[in-house]
Amino acid sequence: MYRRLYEIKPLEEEGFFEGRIKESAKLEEAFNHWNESNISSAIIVGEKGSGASSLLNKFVKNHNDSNITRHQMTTLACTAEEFSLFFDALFEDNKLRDFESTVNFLNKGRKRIIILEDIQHFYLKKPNGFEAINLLLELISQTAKNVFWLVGISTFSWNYFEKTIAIERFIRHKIILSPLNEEQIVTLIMKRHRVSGYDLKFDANQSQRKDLFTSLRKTTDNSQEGLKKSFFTELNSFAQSNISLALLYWLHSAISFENNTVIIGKIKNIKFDFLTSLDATSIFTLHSLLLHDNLSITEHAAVFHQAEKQSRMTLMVLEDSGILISQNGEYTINQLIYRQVVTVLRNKNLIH
Amino acid sequence: MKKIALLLVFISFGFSMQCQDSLTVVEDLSDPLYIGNSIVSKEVKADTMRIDSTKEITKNPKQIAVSDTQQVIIFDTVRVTVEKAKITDELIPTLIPKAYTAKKKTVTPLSDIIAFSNIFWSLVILIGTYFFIKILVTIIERFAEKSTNYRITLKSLSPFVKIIGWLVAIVWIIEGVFGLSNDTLFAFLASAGLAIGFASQDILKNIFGGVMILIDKPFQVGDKIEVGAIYGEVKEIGLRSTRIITKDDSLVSVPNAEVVNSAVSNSNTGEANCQVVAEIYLPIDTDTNTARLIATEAAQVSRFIYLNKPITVLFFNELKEERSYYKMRVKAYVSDIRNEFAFKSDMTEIIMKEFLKQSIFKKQDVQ
Repeated sequence: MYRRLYEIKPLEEEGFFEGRIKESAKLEEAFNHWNESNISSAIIVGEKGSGASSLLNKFVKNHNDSNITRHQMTTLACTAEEFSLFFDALFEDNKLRDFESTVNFLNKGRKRIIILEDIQHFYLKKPNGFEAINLLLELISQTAKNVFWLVGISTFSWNYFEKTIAIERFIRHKIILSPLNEEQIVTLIMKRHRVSGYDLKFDANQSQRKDLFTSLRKTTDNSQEGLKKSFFTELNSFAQSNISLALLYWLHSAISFENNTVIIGKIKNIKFDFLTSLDATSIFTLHSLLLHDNLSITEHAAVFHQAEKQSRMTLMVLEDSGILISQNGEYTINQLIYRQVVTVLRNKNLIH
Repeated sequence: MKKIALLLVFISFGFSMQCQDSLTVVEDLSDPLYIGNSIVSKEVKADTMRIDSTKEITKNPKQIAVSDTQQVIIFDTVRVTVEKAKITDELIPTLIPKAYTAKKKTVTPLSDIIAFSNIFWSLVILIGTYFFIKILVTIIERFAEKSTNYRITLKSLSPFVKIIGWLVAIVWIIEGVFGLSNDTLFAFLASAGLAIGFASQDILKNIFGGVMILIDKPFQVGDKIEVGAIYGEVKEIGLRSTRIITKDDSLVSVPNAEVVNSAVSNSNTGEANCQVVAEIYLPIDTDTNTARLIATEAAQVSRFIYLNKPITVLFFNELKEERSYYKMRVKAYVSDIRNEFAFKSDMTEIIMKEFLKQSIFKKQDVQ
């Protein structure tokens, strides 16, 4: 039960929602602008696990009387054909065979809201790989009067699109999910904990950092409040304001349940030195995965313009090392080392 | 040449020792020295007092009898020639025998300086310094290799570490092991410098060139530079030469004097990225707009691209075998200068494939 409370999935329960006040206000402002018969669209830019879906859930709840179509992209649709098929499937029974018919359909009838999450799946980093994303932006431009487009994208894909296809020109309102501060992260975790009904105890032996500076300190605050403070400082230094990562590290630190009490131990120090010594192919693979979220072997081969056999080898080696996780033939970066991968790619001058 | 230089150094060293023997050094004047109220006062600087007093004493010592109540403190070490020292030795003790506390000291003979223990400890320091510098530079390089962004900045510290390390070692040997005084040291350095200067002008030119490179910083360790016909990554900036690794993985040593006197082209000036140009010849009837779009996209999707700087595609008209061609130049930046040629190749590969796929090249063009 306790684990379920910290499951990494978008929030349905508004009581758990924390922060994002400015972002919510901006979103409402963009919607109101469109509602006043203006051309308007909005994009939510956030790191994976930063709470974009939860924010959208809140928005949908606030506007449940509107005509809302919502979809979270998980698979690739990077060609014009795939793009048309996607919209055809999204609006069943409307025979949207091509771009023109989709534009006509959306410009007719009742005003609607279309929410598309993870639009980075509309492209593949290969020649002609921008076809679908360009079509989507064109569709947004041509239908923004009748449709309030609310799209979500990962931070790194946004940065890439800004520099390649100047995405900012096509979408009027940009909402960037700012990092949560330490206090907000604590509140977010404690809100869920309180619901569990368990008591909480920070383990004095394991919660302290056994580093040089700590050992040099003359006194250590061993009170529960002191231990809690040092635990959350450490947790935030690992998670760096990423909600999913914070929840994940919290769960990993729950070492035991004794007499209705959850014992929280030291955050497992994940060593990632091995990431810095990865070969160039692996580093570039991680970069591509960061931009695309997930890739199949075929997609990886297309990105690196190489044989599928080579791609399979690269992805399997990374999976064996625990860096990647494979699900239904799609490879993605292990959430546990997501932050470290970002740091390595930054050091390699691949992301900025 | 080297032998002559060594000989000159040796002679100059001996000469400086000889000069040293003819001096009488009066030191340790921390105790008060009484001279006389008619010639000095407390406010006058130590140096002036010494000269004035010497002159006065030489002229007519009896007229300037020293009073026991007057006090002059000379703050710094006094050096006088034999002639002056004699006067001081004779007169001051006569006038104020109790108060004269200055000691005379003669310099250690040359044979004592070139003793086995001195040479042994000098060698120990030199070897120790060598390994210390080596370890420090290795640590810097290891840290540098972990980050593309900070690689060049960190590596640029290596030459300074080397120079400072060796300077400290030399000063330590001279002051700590041989115990040479400043006079001896300056005399030695001056004469040795003169001798070395005559004997090895080229070496000195290179050393000064090395120092100029470090001060002026036209490039740093890790930069990609072009000196004359040599192009590659700067591996090391030494005192004599600059070492460059070329694209064929050869290590080329270019004398610093040559580097300083040549035009040096620096591709990245301390940054991790640099511009790469891929050139492709196209038929004159090519649709340049389509070609430009394909080329731009090819650069954008390359794994090596650095997108914080612009991609430019240019077309030039060139004549080859009496036919007119377009020369397309795709200019883009690579995220790590070490991937410069891989990026160039990747861009060319993607562009060519797409041109063939989209029939930008006709069959007769590629046959």
